Amino acid sequence: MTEDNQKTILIVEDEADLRSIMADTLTKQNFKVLAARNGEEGLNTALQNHPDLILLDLLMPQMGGMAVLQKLRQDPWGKNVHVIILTNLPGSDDATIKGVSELLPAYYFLKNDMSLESLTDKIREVLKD
Amino acid sequence: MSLLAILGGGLFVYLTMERALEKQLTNYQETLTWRALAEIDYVIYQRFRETTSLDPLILASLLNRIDGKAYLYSNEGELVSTNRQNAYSGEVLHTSVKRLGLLGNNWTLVIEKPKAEIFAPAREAALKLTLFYVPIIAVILGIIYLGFIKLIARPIKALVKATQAVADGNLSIRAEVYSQDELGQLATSFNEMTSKLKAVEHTKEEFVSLASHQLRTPLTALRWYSEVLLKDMSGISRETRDYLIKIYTNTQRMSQLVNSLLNASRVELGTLSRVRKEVDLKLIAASVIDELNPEIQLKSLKFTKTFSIEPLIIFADPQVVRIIIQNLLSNAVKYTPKGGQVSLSIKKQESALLIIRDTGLGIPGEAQSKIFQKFFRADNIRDIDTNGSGLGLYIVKSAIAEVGGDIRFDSKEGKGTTFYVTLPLSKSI
Repeated sequence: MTEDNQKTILIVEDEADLRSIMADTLTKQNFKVLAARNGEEGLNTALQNHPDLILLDLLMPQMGGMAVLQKLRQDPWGKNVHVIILTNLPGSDDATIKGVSELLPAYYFLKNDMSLESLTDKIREVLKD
Repeated sequence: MSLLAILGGGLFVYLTMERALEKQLTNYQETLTWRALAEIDYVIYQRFRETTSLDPLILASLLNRIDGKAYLYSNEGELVSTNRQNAYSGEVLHTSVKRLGLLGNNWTLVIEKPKAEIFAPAREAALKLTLFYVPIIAVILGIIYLGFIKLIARPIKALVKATQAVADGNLSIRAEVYSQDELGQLATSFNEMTSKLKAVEHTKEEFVSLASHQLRTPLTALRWYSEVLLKDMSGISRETRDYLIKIYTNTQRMSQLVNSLLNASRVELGTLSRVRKEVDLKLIAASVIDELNPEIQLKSLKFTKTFSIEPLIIFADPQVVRIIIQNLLSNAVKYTPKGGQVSLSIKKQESALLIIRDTGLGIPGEAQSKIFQKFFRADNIRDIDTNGSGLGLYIVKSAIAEVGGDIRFDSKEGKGTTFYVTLPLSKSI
């Protein structure tokens, strides 16, 4: 894979251990990885660097994932960027699910139910579109 | 029922009055007799003061003045005179009066009259009174009855209904407060109690939800890190690899347990279903089968799925449908020995019918009534698999009830088990 078509993925996750294992894995998979520790940082990084895909946690300090997604969708670039929501919030509440479906395209997953392998598979699938 | 009571009451009033009037009339009749006798006595005294014997004709004419049949007996009990030829038919009331002084004789006068005739006015009066009073009594009874319904029966019924709803797990129910009396206070206390229970349940749900979220984060880290380690096994000993696998599988187990606990808590609160929409049952089933495929392969199970690709749409929360199928199918796979058979068939009838059949361990007879109980695990599966939580079928049963479906099963220990699940096709059912 050449430098030109290397895809950039932004990980927005407040849990350091999860952030770093995802970053390591995706780097090994030849993705360019950006990481942010909270929603605010994530939004700024996204708007500055225009990654190809964003992995977004929901429950975070400063700014939650839903707020980040809303702000992204208001941005001319951000309204089309691929977003995969990763959360451990089980099933989440109706509002979250409704919010996510209104702000499509966003893919919604439970972190805990996913292996890293299936996560990278999903990322490749989404980026192919 | 109440009509019967009113009729019974009316009859009782009528009979009582008739009885009383009859008694009154009997006394009255005696009085009449005395009066008649006194009159005869007087006439005879006036007119035949000097006479020593009585002309039978005169006696007869005297007796004729008496209403009713009269007999006059002499001292010796001989019938001296009577006023009518024929005796009355039917029951008669008669009064006998011994009198001294009728021309020095001690004669007896007996007067008789048919009871029916005497009592006719009494009956008529009783009937009139009854017809007058019974409607009044009926109205009074009716008012009392309505009052009972309004003041006692209705509030109690409402409370019973509310209690049953709470027993069925509906804590949002409120008993209507009809009054400010003791029953009203009871309903108010009941409502306060359910509000508090609801608040407790809500706290519990929030706690379980947050706790499981907190538990999941480190579990995810454990899972992902061990996954990475397991991928590259070069340069590590076999023992280390085995231990890593154990860490990984136990992490999986822990994740499942957290999921089950959360689902069980949701099911209890009736909040498992989050969204309801049209979903393809077969699509969900196919994805569950895919997920279980590695284990099916590992155990060399013969898996048969008998359903067409053509979608079968039901109206439910896809997550809930997934939980149902996933639990039943993974049980079938888990408890069927190597080389056994598992099948899933889906049919469209009045509702969607899922049949999950296995040639596994089966459920022992004594355990069959308990398999849907929380934390219950049959002895025969406890022996071979220590990992289960005993929550799966409990969640399944409750989840099915939540979407308005039904579950039943046939099982024979050592032969296998078949579960039949029906799920409603549309929201209208």
